[in-house]
Amino acid sequence: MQYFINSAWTIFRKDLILELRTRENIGTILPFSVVIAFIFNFTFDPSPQLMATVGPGIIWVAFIFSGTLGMNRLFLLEREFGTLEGLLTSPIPRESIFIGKFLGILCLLLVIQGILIPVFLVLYNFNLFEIRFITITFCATIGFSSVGSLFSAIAVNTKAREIMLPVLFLPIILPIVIAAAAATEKIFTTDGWSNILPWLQLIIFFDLVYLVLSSILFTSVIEE
Amino acid sequence: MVESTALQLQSISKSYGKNSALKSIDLTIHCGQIVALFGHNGAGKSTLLKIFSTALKPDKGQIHIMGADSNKYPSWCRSQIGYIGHMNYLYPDLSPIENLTFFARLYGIADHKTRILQVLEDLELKDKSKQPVRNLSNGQQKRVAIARALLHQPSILLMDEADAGLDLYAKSVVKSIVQQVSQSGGTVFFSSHDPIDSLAYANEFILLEKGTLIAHRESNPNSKADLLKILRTNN
Repeated sequence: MQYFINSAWTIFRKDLILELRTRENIGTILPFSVVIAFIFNFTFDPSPQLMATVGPGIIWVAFIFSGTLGMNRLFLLEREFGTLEGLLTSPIPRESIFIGKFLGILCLLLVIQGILIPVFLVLYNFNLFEIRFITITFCATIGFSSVGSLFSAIAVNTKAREIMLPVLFLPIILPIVIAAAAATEKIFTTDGWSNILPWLQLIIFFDLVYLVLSSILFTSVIEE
Repeated sequence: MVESTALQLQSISKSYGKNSALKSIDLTIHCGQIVALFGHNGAGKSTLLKIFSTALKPDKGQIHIMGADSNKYPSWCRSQIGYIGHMNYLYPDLSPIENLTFFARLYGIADHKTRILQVLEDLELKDKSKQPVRNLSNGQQKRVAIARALLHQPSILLMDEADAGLDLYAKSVVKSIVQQVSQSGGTVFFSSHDPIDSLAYANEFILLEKGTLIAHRESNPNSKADLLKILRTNN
């Protein structure tokens, strides 16, 4: 177990060092996400009533699009330089590659979401600095990252990977997106946890299902 | 009992879609041997080496590495193998020392700092150890790739055209590494397009043609002549 954790941590740490050194992912995804937020700002009249209705959709569209872009690149470097074969010929369990990659994309998406929250405050006057929204976002991002890590590994071996990933990823992730958007709408309109708790439970349920299934399927996907 | 069989394949087949890359290959390589693998482009050399390295799963058949079934003991089998492929398997934005530290951690090498310094010194890379890999020459990158493959002191070294595109000095480094591994009791199995140079130090050779093993012979003047004849005829 210690070896498993160490291997996953080593892969995560390597991805983190590479990202801090090159800023390739964040440099691409962040401007893209901010542009999405800006486009919606010019499309709608940001009145409080309208924003309470369409706001959750805007937030989650921005999160999902930026996430999809980040996931497309998750295995690209490993594929481009053949390092995936280097990982596969090492004695580490395949699942630890999955966990390492999952932690990498989770961390990247949380950082991007953390940067987007003040952008939404400035553009739409959404105060998203509250524990309920942060909990929902964190839990939903776990689900995105687990499914994204699996489908990114599948898509990287296909010719039309940029198209393949969203086609595979978005329909599967739909239950989490719907639950997260619905919970966000409740956060905008009500106080307390009671109204968002059923949605949060649904997200956690899908997180567990996706994490377990993705880590099991990853082993066979990565060896093909 | 000392295990005398380093690599064993039983009825291995592999297809990519409708194309059959390997057709029911049976092969045994004994410990301490240097075995060269020849064949024209598309003969199945890289597929065979990738299957031995466990990076690729065959459609059918069994693989034994140092006597262990690679399906039952995959981690142990992988720990016995050092693999150098067409690509260098290095992260270009990390330095050689960072790349080697990363792989040393994956292989669970105790006291990896000492071991890394040792392989860097053996491959004359100490002065380049802190530069990003992307700034190194092709030959220097290949030496880092060899260092990565030797880091965990594998019993078997697999090399897929490791000397392709290298200058004479880098080729001599590859050759001396092969001889060192063999002298210390290790097994080397490598593919090459240069039969004259490779047969100068290989004990055995294998010839693949369209996914079928057509020859596995000891390297001697007669067999070398036969091999060269076959390779030239098919060209």
